[in-house]
Amino acid sequence: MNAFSLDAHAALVTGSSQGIGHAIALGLRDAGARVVFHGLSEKSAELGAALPADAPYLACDLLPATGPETLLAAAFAAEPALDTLVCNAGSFFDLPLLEMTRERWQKTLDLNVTATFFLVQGFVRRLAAAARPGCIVITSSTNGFQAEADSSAYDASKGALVMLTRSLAVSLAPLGIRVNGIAPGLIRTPLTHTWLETRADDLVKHYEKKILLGTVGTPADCAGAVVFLCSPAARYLTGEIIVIDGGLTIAQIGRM
Amino acid sequence: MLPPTPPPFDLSHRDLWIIGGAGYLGRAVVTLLASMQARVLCADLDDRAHRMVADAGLPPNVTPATLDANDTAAVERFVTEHCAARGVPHGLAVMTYSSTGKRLDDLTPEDFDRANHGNLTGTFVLARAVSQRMAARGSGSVVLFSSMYGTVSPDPGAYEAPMNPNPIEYGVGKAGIQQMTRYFAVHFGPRAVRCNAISPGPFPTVATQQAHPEFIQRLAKKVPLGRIGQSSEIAGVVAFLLSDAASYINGQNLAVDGGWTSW
Repeated sequence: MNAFSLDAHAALVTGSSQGIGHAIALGLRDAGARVVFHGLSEKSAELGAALPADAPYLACDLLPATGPETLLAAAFAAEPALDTLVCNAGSFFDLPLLEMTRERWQKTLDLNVTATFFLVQGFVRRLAAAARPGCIVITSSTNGFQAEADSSAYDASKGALVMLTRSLAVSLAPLGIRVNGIAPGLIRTPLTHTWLETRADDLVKHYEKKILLGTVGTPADCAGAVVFLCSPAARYLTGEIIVIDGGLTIAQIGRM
Repeated sequence: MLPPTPPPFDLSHRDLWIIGGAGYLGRAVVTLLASMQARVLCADLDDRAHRMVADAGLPPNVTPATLDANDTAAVERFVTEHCAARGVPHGLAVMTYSSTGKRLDDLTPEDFDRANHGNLTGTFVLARAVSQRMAARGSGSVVLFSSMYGTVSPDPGAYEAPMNPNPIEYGVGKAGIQQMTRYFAVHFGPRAVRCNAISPGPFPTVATQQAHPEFIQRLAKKVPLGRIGQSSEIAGVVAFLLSDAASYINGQNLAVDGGWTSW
């Protein structure tokens, strides 16, 4: 047995048109899984070029209450043997605290937390009906336990995902479904790129001092941990969250 | 264009040292790493590693060695000699532990010191000696072994006389390993040496499983997955943390406990 092989497994990775989700989806395929990709936008020529030619891609907005069920129905139609779900879709809608709106607060929680819970619920209902064991991975963030200024909604939503991961693990263990998470630190993605590059102060240099391994992470740095969590090597892991931050959150003060 | 594929789990031809490699969990780790074509140095007390390699018919890419990790002078010699002979390893896993097995009321100060010398001082001297050499080269991955009992206390109700509860000095030392891991990660991280910990949940040995079936049932009830762990379920986690697939993971403690510490 190859401890890290995902042969004969099939996964849905939400938010896999770009960034961390994209690297996770490619990593799962590399390990042998069949993978259904998902994103917010319809498939463009540019997006098509970034996806493997033979992989199904589903466009679906997860914000509306019907979003999770719509996506799951399409995903199981495309790949009936799904047994792995990576809840990775999420975003950042905060404004500076004094300008923050109720609409943006609600949107953050709806997408990052509520859609994740109902994706898992719908996924598990289908697995339970088929008496099929499974594996779920939830992307939270180091923002789930270390705060950042003007990120209240994002921080709170990621903190909720940290606890949701444990809570789901406890509830779903009797069904043979493991639930684990990854908590990426600062990773260079389309979501963080603009933010990093448009700051007047030299934020990247600041982070490179604070990150012990010396560099901002790449999406591919997150893929290995998800492959591991979905693989036979992690059969006895549930309720666990792997922090992938190059050491960003363990030191009090970085190098000066 | 597709971005580069994620870093691999490949450990072939990596030099990996597994200290405490002939124990119940160590044996599974060494066996998996050997099957992944790593060059494994398996060290344990007396002739335990030599006997395991012979009895299990492990392939020639596993080299047995003798080390008492309590003996800090022997540890320094061991690291110097084996680095000279084999080169500085790519990965190190320290799977040793000390425990008196005594009840809290019976524990003497000397017992407590002796166990923690093994759990903390021995691990420190060994991991430091190897990490310093890895740092001088500019790469390496170190895995230290903590325990769920370094995070939560044993439930005395799971243990019934004449069995003693898992003793205090064991968990205290294993809690120390979690902080040692973070300190090593911070100290050596800038020189690209990662350090992470694994906290196994309930992994009683086969002998304990056979001798105490009711105890095993009580443990299993405390695990969301409803069963104790099997030694092979630790092996893949060690392989992951030693591999490049974990290259951005540093200073973490991974619980492999079926969910024991989730509720």
